[in-house]
Amino acid sequence: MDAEKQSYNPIHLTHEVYLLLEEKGLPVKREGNLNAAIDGASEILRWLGLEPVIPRDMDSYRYVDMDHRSYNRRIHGD
Amino acid sequence: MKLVHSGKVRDLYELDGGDLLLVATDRVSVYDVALPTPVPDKGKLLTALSAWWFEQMADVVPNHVLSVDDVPEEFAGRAMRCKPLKMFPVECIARGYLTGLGLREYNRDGRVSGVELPTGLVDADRLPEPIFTPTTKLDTGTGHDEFITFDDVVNEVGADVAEQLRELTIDIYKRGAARALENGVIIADTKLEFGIAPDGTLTLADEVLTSDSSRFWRAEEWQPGREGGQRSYDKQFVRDWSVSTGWDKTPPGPEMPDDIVEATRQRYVEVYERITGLTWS
Repeated sequence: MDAEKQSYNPIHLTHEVYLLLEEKGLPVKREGNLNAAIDGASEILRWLGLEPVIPRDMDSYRYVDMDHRSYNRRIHGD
Repeated sequence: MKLVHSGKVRDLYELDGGDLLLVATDRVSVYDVALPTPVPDKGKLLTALSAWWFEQMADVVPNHVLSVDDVPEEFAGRAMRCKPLKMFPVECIARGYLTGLGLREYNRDGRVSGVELPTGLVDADRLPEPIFTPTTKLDTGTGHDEFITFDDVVNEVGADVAEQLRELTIDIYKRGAARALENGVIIADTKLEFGIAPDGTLTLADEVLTSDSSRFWRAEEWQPGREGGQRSYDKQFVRDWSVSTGWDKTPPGPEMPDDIVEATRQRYVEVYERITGLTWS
């Protein structure tokens, strides 16, 4: 966690919840709409007084554009 | 295994040891909104098609795929174990046909992304030569992605790499388009991404020539200038259906009825089978 900004990455929170429940022996799976789960994790963080922040640089240099956003917007007009 | 990024339709995990796992889901995204209804097998079909293309292009450029088999069981069939790369902040788009926003630009300026084109072209016309129209994927804070010129690419990555990106993009498009056309599929345009491997090798990444990263048309139905546009094999079908519902293109997206789900799935299956010559089972 970034103590100065009081923020936390909700994607990490979903993963940590998965690990926690798995540790407890619950039959957890990763299915369905992960974005909805991340929205939920963001709500939990807000409820806890933290700002949910997904670092922008995760979308640029190290990782691919997972949603083809530029292509869809510029070529298909999305 | 650690989830490091979740897109609208794909998720990315970092595996112990540093390899990446690119997982395709059955979600469909249109107008930058993930629809609530999944399309069965979409993740597997796109992964299989992309893996097939990576193999076909292996003699053109190295790629980031390490394995499609050595993946966690829960993601079997719809995941690729990949090398981590330092990605270039450029989306490399090749276009062989004039349509969509390119057509609008052409009708206004006679050019597409600064490339002069002959007069008199109509929607879905084949271009004399494929053109390279890069776009930035950096979020400028405006919510809009920008087309950039080749000189911008040079400034971003250097002249040598920029030239390689342009040549590779056009080479891959040409080879892919020719192969697909033999089997009755027109690839009107596509988007590729490249990165640098730890050993410095320029490497093809992301997914390649799939229905999500390309515009596909049925060759036998191709008719430049056709009223209402070409019949598409890609997710344009879902775009058109979503608009027909009166949806305002903001979240949440509409639920897809069963017949639209099945028709969409059939398109993904058909394009896979036509292009690869393999049977989907």
